[in-house]
Amino acid sequence: MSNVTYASINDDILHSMRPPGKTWFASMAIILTMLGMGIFAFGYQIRHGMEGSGINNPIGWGVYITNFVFWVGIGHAGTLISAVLFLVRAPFRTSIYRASEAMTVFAVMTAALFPLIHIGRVWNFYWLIPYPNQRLLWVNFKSPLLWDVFAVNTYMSVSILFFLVGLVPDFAVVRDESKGLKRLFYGIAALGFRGTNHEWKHYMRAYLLFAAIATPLVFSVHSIVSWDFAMSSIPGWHTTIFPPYFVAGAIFSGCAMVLTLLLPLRAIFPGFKDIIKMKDMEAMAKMIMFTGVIVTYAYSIEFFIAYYSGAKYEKALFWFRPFGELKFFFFLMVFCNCVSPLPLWIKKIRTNVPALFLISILVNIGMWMERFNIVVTSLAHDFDPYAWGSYTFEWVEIWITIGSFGWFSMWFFIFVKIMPSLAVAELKEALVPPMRSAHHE
Amino acid sequence: MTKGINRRDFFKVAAVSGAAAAVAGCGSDPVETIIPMLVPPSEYQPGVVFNFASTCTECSGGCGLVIKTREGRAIKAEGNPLHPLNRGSICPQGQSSMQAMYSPSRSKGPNQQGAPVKWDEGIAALATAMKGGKTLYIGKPRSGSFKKLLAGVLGTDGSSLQFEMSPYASIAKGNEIAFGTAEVPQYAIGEAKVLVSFGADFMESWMNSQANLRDYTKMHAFSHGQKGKFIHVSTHQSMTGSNADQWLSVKPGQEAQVALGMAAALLPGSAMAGNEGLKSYLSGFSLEKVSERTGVSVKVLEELAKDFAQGGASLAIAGGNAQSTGEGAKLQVAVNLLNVVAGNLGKTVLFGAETQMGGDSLSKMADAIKQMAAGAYQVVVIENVNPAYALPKGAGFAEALAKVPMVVSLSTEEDETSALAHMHLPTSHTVESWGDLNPRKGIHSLIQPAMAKLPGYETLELGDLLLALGKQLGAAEASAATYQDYIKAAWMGYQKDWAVAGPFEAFWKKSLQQGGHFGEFAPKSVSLQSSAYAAEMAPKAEAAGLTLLAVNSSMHDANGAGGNRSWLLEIPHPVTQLVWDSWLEVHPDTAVELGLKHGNFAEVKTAAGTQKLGVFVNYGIARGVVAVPTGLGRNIPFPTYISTRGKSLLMPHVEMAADVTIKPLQVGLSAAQLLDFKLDPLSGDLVFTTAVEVKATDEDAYMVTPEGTAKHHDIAALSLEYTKANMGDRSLKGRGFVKMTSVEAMQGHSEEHDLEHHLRHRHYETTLPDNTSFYQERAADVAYHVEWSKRDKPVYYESHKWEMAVDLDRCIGCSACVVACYAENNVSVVGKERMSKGREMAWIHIARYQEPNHETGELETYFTPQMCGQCANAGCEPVCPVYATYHNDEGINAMIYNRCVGTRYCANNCAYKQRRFNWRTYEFPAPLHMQLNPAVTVREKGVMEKCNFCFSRVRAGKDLAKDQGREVFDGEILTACQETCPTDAISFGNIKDSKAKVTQIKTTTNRGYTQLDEVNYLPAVTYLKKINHDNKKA
Repeated sequence: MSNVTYASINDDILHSMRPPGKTWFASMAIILTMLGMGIFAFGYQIRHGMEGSGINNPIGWGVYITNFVFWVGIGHAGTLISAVLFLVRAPFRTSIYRASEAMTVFAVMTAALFPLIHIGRVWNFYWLIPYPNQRLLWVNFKSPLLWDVFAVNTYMSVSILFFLVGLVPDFAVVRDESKGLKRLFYGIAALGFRGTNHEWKHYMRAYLLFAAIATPLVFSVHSIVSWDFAMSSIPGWHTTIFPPYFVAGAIFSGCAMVLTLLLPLRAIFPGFKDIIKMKDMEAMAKMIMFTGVIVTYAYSIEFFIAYYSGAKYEKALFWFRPFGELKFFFFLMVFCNCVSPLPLWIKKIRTNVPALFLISILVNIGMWMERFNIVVTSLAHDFDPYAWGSYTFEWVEIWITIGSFGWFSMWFFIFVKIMPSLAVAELKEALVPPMRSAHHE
Repeated sequence: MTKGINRRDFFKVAAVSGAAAAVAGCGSDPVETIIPMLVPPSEYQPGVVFNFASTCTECSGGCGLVIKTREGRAIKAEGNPLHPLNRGSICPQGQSSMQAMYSPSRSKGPNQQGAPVKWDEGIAALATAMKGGKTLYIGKPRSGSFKKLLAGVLGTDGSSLQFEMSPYASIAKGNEIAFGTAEVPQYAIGEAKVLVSFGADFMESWMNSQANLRDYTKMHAFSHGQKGKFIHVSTHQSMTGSNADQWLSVKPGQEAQVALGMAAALLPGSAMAGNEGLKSYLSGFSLEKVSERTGVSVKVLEELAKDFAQGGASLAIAGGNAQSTGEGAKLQVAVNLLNVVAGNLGKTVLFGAETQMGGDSLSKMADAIKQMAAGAYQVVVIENVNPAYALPKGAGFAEALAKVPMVVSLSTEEDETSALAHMHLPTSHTVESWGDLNPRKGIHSLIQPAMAKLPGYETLELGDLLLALGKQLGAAEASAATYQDYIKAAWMGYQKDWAVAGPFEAFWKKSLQQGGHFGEFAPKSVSLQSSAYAAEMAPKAEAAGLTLLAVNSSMHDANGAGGNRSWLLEIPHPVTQLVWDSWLEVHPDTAVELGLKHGNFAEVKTAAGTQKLGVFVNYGIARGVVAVPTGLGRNIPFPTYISTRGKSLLMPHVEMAADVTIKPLQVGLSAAQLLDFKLDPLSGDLVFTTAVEVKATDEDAYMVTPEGTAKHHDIAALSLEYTKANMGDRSLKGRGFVKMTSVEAMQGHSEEHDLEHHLRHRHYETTLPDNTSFYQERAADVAYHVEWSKRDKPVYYESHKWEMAVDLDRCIGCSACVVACYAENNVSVVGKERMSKGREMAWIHIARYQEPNHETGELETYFTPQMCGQCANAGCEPVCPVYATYHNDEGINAMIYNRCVGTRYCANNCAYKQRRFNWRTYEFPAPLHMQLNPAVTVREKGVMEKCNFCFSRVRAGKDLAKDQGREVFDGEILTACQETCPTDAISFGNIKDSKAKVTQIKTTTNRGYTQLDEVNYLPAVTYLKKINHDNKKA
């Protein structure tokens, strides 16, 4: 703490915005290749139909919807950290919220692609939007998919706005540190923010307001996403536990993704190590521990209810998940989500960077598997035994999934280079003002 | 002219038949236009269906057809309701004749080894060759006027042979021995209370399956508190046996023993008891001895004999596999004895019909092959039969044919035999031709062209070709200008023979409208001859070792005509549910013994060769027997969609537009390649069995079925019956898709509405709609729930609410409804790989479940047709974000293809999984696309589709009623599946009409249920429980 000063924060954070080096370009090349794979596969799918993905007759949703829920879920941690933790004044928020929020925006941008990718006739996607048209066609507000359209769009616009509002003072810092065209550009982005008391007062009020608007979305969006499933009649989907279960799962995966992104960021930019403290990472780990327990509880209660309800369809499905032919995905999920976070209860492990990174990756995999299990196994084994099916992956969906990671990473890499990845102003706020430090320490 | 569009009034379109026929007679038109008739006949109306009565020539059964045409193109083959044999239904193969008509394998025009020739040159060449020596004509079995013309054209130097693989020669021979008349009798199945079939798959390939099924339904369907009993005795159950009330599995080739044992048991009480010769003959077949030989217990045999004693109201028939063991004639003799002893002769077994079914005995073919090999023939003409494919290699057909100087094929399609011909003069398909058939005395069916010749195909009608040929040869018989004239002239003679009053034109028109001239026949009496119980008639007592059976089914038979039709390959085989493949059916115990595993390849070695076949483990076959389906192994031109099977998923597999070419694809393998050319010494029928060695392999056979149960185990339901040899769980898993009850339980419920419904061409009084809710008795319940849940009001239907009832006691699983649906609704055929991935498009399917028999512990088969239930409280409708599926005011879950964006949520939320998604745009290889029904949209990639109760037909029916200013008659609108059902299992109608049959069935039945009631989707399809005779079945 002692060596962190206003100036060092400026230097360290803006250091990350220096012109990209070879590593950045090499990474970007890989990322763009991934994105290109996704675009190619999507183009192929548009031209030839949906059969390049493993979805089939009983299993109408597969990897695409899994990806959708996965990416929406990832987004949640960012909003949770930036909005909810802001309202509750959690101290560990400051260092990590900017990157987390960026993650949210990009994750939701990724997620929003999947409903489009997954529909059979994407060229007609705008029919999902209620707009006046000469054909007098309207949308069906009873359909949870339509609720999704609104939930995701609302979430995306609010998180982008909240993100940009948070950036205003930091853009001003970048403006002040730069020259020429760059100065002009950041000046526009900073909306002429000069840091007067008057401005700060209004700014803080606005920020608080946005945090309050964003907070309910943390809970509503994933609840609505869960209704895509819970509102249906399919065993394994039709359950009241889904909204809290999904929200907990979303925060679980989101926190893991924050770790997955910030731990390398911290390693790449040495200056960040002093700012993003191990203590903050540990707080994330604790969030993972907590939500991991909720998720594990949800898994077990699903099995209990299947047994306790006596509903044969439900029972058969919950036999199928651990013992059917898709059991690999189930056990992978259980291992990653229930077992792998357990070591975090030991302080030594949750403060160990490689261990933390590894576990965060496992949790990400596990949460993808959770969505895959919910989406696919339920459809594979529902009411009519004649119609039961199975899932095999196909190249198009795999490539599109790779492409989605490319898309997300591309935005994140650009973000690191053009925006302050940590919240400059708020970090300074947390510091003891320079002239007083000697006294108090 | 509006009346002409009503299919039930089709006989009123006489003038149309004549006019269209005149157009058809103009010869082939190479120009393809949107509407093929440039100057249409005056009655022609675009967008309106015209029906032409005709006759099916797929087998020799002679079922009446109605060819439905739109814009001058035939689009569907339906059964002729006025025809006394099939009475409106038609089998899968008969319906698939449309795919033969528009077959991608059709020959484009006359050619000499690929080089096109002109028609007159080709005929002249053939005539010249025929003048040079003896001619052999090998053709389809064709009764009627054609025979005479052919004989006249061939003259004294020519001979003809009617080729069919199962020509019922054993039945004829057995009757010759037993009764002194080599006739295939009429079996009055409908009059019997107990039917015992010795291997005769009468629901599939034995005789006229449609006529059989009509009669069987009469006898077997629950009606007035009663139900006949059907017992199947065979080594291979087949679909027919799986519908039996009791299936006796006997050791291979031992069916005759059971028949004789029953006869022996019944003899003491019968009219024949005094016949000493018979008595001493039958003494060798005491139940104990028979039991020892067949493996059936004495008690079961005793009960069987007791059941059979019905005082003349029972019937035993023989055929199918039991008759293809080399002792077919002996089996027929044994069955004849049984029928005589039981007093059935003259009651359920009728002679005198002069049935012309099946072709010539294969011994005649064997002779012909010898003669060909010896160089006796100058010319061999082969017409629409495929002996090069169908006959076992051992027959030496191809080798013998190679010795013939001039081989001419007259086949419509290019096939294995036409490939061996020097010249191919393709004849037109039946749908484009004139003709007549006489399947038995009293039934004279007409064939009339329903459309002009297929554009771009230079073909000639078979009759016209023969006439042209005859003229060149100077045959007196060939003086008629066209074959139409020839038939007309013949019928002019018939009019006198049948003493039909009135002018000929009126008689002719009426016959064309009705599809022929129909009457009864006078049975002639026959009596048992002593040769029937001569010692040499005794069947062999020892069962053979491991035996291979080549089996016919409703989908494919040994002639192989359907082996290149995509509908018949894509629609799952009823018993095995397998698609696009051959298989080896094995009993679980045999499989365990031989180490075979369900789904793996087995090496099958017979004297004729070694083949690899996928193992299908099933209880419907005797131990010590393996069965292979016939009729497969042919090439079908099919689109080569890209395959990702077994390829890396990380690499792209890109299908270019040019990649989707139509290439010949071999499907399965021909069972004939495993058989010897061995004939029944008495009758000359081919022996469809052979000794076999089977060796297990570990290789996956890639057998594909649309059912989920073969691969996926439900732990909760696993039991021994399903685990043997890895066969998988095929049970209902307690989910009640098929429900059963017993005759006992139904006692006292004889008031149940008699289901003789179907309502073809009947006009019933209709009550005008009442304004009550369709929910009827459920209304109160619904009102309560509506109030409680605060949800929208239930939909109240104005005047129509279409509902369906499916009687599972009648459904036999034949899948004719599925074919009808494919034809009517332009359902895409997707191929094996796409089927394996769960991308089948069938709107209706026959789900086959197997449940254990409480007594034997073996599995019994149950069938249920599954289609969209048009649920009143559907799961699919509220989840669609764009209202692409919605509930229309007639109770249909309508699909608006144009509006669909393809979220597939509706399919996910359908508890019955009846929705089908277009995973790609599927190809209809030319000219199959011309079969597409213009009344139904062809769907593109990314769109959801499903059954809509043939709403295009509902629309057409309502429009007609509107034009005529009346209500829709009950039974006026038939769904495609209902229309073709040979057992009338499906009823359809307006539930708001209290007099409608479907309403009456639903309100009076006490065995109705809806599937998955607990999900509360309120489907409009009510199923009626299957009625078992006793509780031996599950």
